[in-house]
Amino acid sequence: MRKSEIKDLIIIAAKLLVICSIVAVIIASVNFVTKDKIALNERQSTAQALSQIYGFDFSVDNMQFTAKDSDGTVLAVCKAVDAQLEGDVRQIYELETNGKISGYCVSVSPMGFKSNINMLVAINPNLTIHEVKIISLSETSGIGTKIMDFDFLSSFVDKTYPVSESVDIISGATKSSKPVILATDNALTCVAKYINSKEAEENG
Amino acid sequence: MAKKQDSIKNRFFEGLFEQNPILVQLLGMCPTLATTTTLENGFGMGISATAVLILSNLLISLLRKFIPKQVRIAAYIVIISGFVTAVELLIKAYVPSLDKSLGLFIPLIVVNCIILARAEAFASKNGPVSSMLDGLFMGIGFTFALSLLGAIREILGAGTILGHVIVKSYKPMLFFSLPAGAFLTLGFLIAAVNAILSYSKSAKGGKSK
Repeated sequence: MRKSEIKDLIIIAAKLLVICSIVAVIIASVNFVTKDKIALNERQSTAQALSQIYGFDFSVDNMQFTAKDSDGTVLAVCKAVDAQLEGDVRQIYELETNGKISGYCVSVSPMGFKSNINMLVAINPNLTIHEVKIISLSETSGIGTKIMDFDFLSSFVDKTYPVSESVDIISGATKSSKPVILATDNALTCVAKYINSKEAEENG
Repeated sequence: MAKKQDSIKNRFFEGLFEQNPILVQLLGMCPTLATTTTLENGFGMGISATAVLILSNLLISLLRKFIPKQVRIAAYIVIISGFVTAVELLIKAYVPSLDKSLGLFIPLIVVNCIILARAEAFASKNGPVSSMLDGLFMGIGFTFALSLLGAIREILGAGTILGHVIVKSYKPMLFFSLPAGAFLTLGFLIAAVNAILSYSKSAKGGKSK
């Protein structure tokens, strides 16, 4: 290769680097402006999903979700706990009603066929599944989206660990349904560990 | 001044009718068919693509003497995808309902051939203001076609417009909400627009004689 050709290549590469840098600055600026609003929107989606699962009207209240009646009396509180998280588990929430713990809700994001499936796993205090709710997904319409069907999601109700042995994968949508099943097992494992560690702390 | 205004007016009508990117040039068929299940979705998609068109045309025009010819397509794609990401973040933040309904089709604006075509055919050869206007007028034409198609499909396929029931006794034809209905509706629209344009051209030709 001649020196002039090498020089031309270097100039082209340098110009492409400048263009990429300009675009990166634009994206970074927009991200800086919008990240808080996007995070708030995600929390509001979670509040909506919690409302549908438990029947209370939850709203975002700082770092927790609170349901109040028309007088302002707190009916239920769903707050994030400090627990050891594994796999795709993003957060464990503890549900309190009338001052007692009445359940746990785990936010999980397993990788589906195309991208992450955002879901909530509601778990009873006796470690049975109360409900599994899919919040958002980008799976193939008509195939991967079958994981939102009532028949599949209702098959999780009242199941215990390991859910993978009692809930069937959807035929033709393995890469979407299997991560949901495994994520549910992960959620159960994390909640069980959290309950055990809490009991160990209380017992001294 | 009058010439300039005429030119802008001509380009506006070109983008809307004579050179409409969907109904005449048949570009961007994938998002056209997939997102026009309702008027709101079609309009939202059109506005998003218009924003990307205007901004990418502007930046490409500003950098037209800087971008090397040998890698111009790669450079255009980088610029277009940057603006698509920015628009996607803005939609996620301020119009989350549109983000939920359009979903994966927002990032797919990157490979919408209208945007790359206008970058190569116009923005890379003209000044920033002309390029922005070109993006605006093509975007208006794109949005108009998507909105029209979305409105027809929503009325026939769901019996509603913007979510409001039009005639209570009307039983909607689900076919028009499905892909096959999209193809059929688009086909009839293209035929109608081309018939009108052809008649208009022959009428103008007759007058000049």
